[in-house]
Order: sequence, then structure tokens, then C-alpha cells
Amino acid sequence: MHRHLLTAVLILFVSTAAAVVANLTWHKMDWLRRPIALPTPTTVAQKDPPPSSAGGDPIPDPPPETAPGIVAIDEVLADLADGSAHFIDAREDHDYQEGHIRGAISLPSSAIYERIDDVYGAGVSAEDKVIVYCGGGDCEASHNVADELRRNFGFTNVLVYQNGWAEVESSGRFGDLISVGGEP
Amino acid sequence: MNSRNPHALRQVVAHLCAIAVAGVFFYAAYEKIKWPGQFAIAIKNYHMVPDLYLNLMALVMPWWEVAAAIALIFPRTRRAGAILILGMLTMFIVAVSYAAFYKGYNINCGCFGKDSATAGWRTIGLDVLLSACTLASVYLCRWKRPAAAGFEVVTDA
Repeated sequence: MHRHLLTAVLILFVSTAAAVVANLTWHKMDWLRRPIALPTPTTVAQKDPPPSSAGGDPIPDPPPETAPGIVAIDEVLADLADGSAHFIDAREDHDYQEGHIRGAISLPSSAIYERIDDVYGAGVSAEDKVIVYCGGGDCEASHNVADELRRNFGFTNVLVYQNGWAEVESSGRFGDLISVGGEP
Repeated sequence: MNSRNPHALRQVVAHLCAIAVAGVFFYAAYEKIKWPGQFAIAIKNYHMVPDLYLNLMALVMPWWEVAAAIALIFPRTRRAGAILILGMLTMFIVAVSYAAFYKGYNINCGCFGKDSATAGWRTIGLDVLLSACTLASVYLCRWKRPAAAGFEVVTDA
């Protein structure tokens, strides 16, 4: 039995070495995933400056919609109206086809690397403002897509519309800014 | 079939089980090796690994799968490969049970890259089936160690 365990450990060492070589020569990915700075939403930041701690009171946690990297419905609608941001739908294809924000590019969080060319193909560059959304609520797909865009594709201004599709449907404020089908 | 070996059928079944399990592991590793960033997201969805170590795990684990699968194919290293594969399958079962049943997450299991099923009973069933095939590949296989001084030594692996 000891011989088999030793062989198993040896196999682990060899395969780990193969992983190191593969990453050094091919992926060149960071071994550790360190936190990265998040952009601050422009309009929300201007409307609601962060509270000062000069009075000695502890600074409360910002509400989710004003946290770094998060945008609220007002900014989403403003960006849609003036075309100042690109929208990415991080939900799966069947959800996208049932309805999405008009012009949004489909990039499911389960196929980011496979479908990233769709984003570049739509003329989105790394410096452009990008807003990612998914189903809303506790949906994590938009955060995963945004994190990968910032971390591994060099996008510098990626924000998450956290309330996402649930709010798009329930707010009634999007009107004809909603499309159905497979096309943006 | 080799007429000198009364366990020929068992050997064939053992090899078929080993090749089947190895094939599944090769297939599972392929997309993870191709896109480790995508696999890191799949691991992240389980909320079991600190964010700091997601990339490390995503970069190394697919290579463990490949090496264990190769080891399982060859009778001489089959037990070592089986130890690794059973260890990984146990880890997968624990992770899926924690995420799907204890925490109630509705997540993609991440087992086969983009083609993965939702983490749940089906995933656990597949892992149990693979574990059974791995055990069968070991216990049905009797590897002949090279004879010394004219003796033929038959061992379990």
C-alpha cells in the first residue's frame, strides 16, 4: 500500500510541475487571485458623495447600489439613452433570448472565454464603459463576468447593474429598450 | 481470451472500466486546461475556496486529473491512479453536496467546462458510478509482476 501511496504522491508532483510549465508557457495567469480596484459609478458618485467621518461617527456601509463597481437604474437608463455605455448580458442563452436590454451583447458567465470575441466583434474596446447585468437579486453571473473582464481582458471601466433583469422587468421604465430574440 | 489465464474476462472488464473512467477524466480536464479562468469561476461558485487560491486550484487540478487518468490506464500504476481519482471524486461529491443541498445554490457543476450539468443528484450519481468503475478496475485486475529467479509473481496491482 505504501508503494501505491508514494506513486500517487509522485504523480501529483509531476502533474503539478506540468501545470507550472503550462502556465508559464501558455496561460501566463496569476497564481493567486488578488482583489482589484473597482471603478466608481459616475452619476451616483456625483449625486451622493460619501459621508465624512469628521464627526466621529462610524461610516456606514454604502447601500448596494452605491458600492464601488455597482450602478443603479438611473445611470443605466441615462447610459442607454445617450449610448455612452455598452451592455453585456451575463445570463445563459435561453434567458437572453426571452428578453434583454436592447443592444446588450450576450456573454454567459459559463462561456466567457469561448465567447469573448463577440464582445470585441461588437466594437467594444477595453477603455469603453461597460455595464454587465444578470437576473438580479443574488445572481452572481454579472459579478463573475465583470471580474474576468477587468482582471484578464484589461477592461478598465466595467460596472455591474446588480438589480439586473428583475428590475428591468418590474420597474416598467425600460419600455422599448427591451429586445427579444438572439440578436442584440 | 488468453486460455492460460482463467481471469481473462475479469481483466478485460477491469481494463474497460479503467479506460472508461480515464476517458471521462481526460474529457473533463480538456476544457479546464484550455480555459483555466473559466474553471476558476466554476470553483468560485461553490464558495468553498478563498478567492486568493482560485487560480492556483484552477491551474493545477486539471493536470492532476490528466495524470491520474494516465496512471489508471496502466496496470502497474493503476492503484496509485485509483487513489488519486477516488480522492478527487470524494472531493467533488462533498463539494456538490455542500453547494447544492446544504447551501441550496443553483450552480453549474463545472465538471466538464461549458457542457456541465447543474450541480445536484445527477452529478453525484455520475461521481458514484465513476467511483464504482474505478474500484472495479482495481479489484478485477491482477497485474503480473516481472518474474524473478524463474518464479511468476501475481500481485493485486
